[in-house]
Amino acid sequence: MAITPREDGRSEIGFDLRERILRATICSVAERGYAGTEVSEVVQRAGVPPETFERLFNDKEDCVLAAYDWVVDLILVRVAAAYELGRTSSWSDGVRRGLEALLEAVAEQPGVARMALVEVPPISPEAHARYRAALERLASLLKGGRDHLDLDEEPPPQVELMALGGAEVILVDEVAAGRADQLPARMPEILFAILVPYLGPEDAAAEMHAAAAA
Amino acid sequence: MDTGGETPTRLPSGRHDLPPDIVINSQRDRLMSGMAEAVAATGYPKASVEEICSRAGVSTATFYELFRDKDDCLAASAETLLGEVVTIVTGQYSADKAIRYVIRDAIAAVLALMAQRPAAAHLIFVNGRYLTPAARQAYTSGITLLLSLLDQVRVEADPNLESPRSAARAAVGAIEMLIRSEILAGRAEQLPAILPQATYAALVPFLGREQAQAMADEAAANPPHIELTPFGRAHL
Repeated sequence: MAITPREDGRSEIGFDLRERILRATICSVAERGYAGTEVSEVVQRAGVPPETFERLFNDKEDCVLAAYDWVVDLILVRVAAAYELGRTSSWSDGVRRGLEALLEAVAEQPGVARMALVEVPPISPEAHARYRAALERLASLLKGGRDHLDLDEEPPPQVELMALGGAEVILVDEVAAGRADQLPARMPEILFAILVPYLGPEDAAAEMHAAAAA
Repeated sequence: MDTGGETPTRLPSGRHDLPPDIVINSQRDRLMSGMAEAVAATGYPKASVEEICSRAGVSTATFYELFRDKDDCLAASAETLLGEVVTIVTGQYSADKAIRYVIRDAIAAVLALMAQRPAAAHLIFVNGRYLTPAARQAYTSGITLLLSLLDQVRVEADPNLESPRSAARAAVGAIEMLIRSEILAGRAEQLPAILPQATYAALVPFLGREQAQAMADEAAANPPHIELTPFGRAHL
């Protein structure tokens, strides 16, 4: 029996053609980068006719951005869950657990991490906006928690951006250099980078040493 | 993004007595500005030579006389911008200035330069780290310059503080994030306003919250005066 896909890419028997194309796109961008990814190769890998691709996506960029949203969402849900779990003991514990989850995800799938951190953001202003949106989600996680921090002084405005910027630059540098697998081992110093604008160097270093010992 | 007025003024058309090298430099400058504007508008993959030339008001034939291809023009733009950043940052050194003030003023100088040239700011801070190897090299050199300043502030820091080696890279990353955020929000022209936060981010891992905040407060109350040439171009 022939499978007739519906407009949304779900066939009558629930086969998700859209998801198959997105998976193929992720593999292709992870292996060949954005520039090296071609729609013809993606549809072949996904095992769908080119018309299905054309019905579901405007072009390569549209499809890559959809794939991007999907992988980023999977990673961020994982990070948020770990953060909330850790936060039951303390805010910095939540940050540590969330960071661990992020670095594990990156090390498990370096190609996907490369796609998310290095390949996709520069392709267009729209892609940058998606990347920003992902950072905003992390920033609101951090902000939600630090309201409960008992700091003697208010942290400066945009402290979330500082914290994220410190960690992000290390992630991007390492993933771009092909060292994603070494990131989990660097968790304590990345934790320092996130905590230092809130806590100052003494307390951030104490958390770093505790994380290294744990 | 409003990049009005950023492209260097076109020379008057028709006969003129300007020496050929001035004409060529002007065309090069305009093409490099056109490159920055095109990348800010569409991203590098979609910025075509035609688009760059049309923004610059220069023919594609001239483009190919001056540059091998798009990558070559990008590399030249990145190197030129790096040259400007290096000149303006190193200009903040003086023998009687404590290193924390050199750092604050170097940040202020970069912010002032970028505020004057939003498209260039976008090229460096939004796209710089993702571009071709040659362009990325220029970006990395600029970052390394700031890192070397931050490593010097460790000398002024309490020797018992144990910031990890990567703390300087993270601090510069924090500043980059602050800058990128302003640019993407369309506030490149107002970049000097974030000097207090950027100063705090640079110094907090080494000097602690109290001293970093004091430096930030001082930067807010009494921002340093940065001299820029009309185009923000040290070589003009």
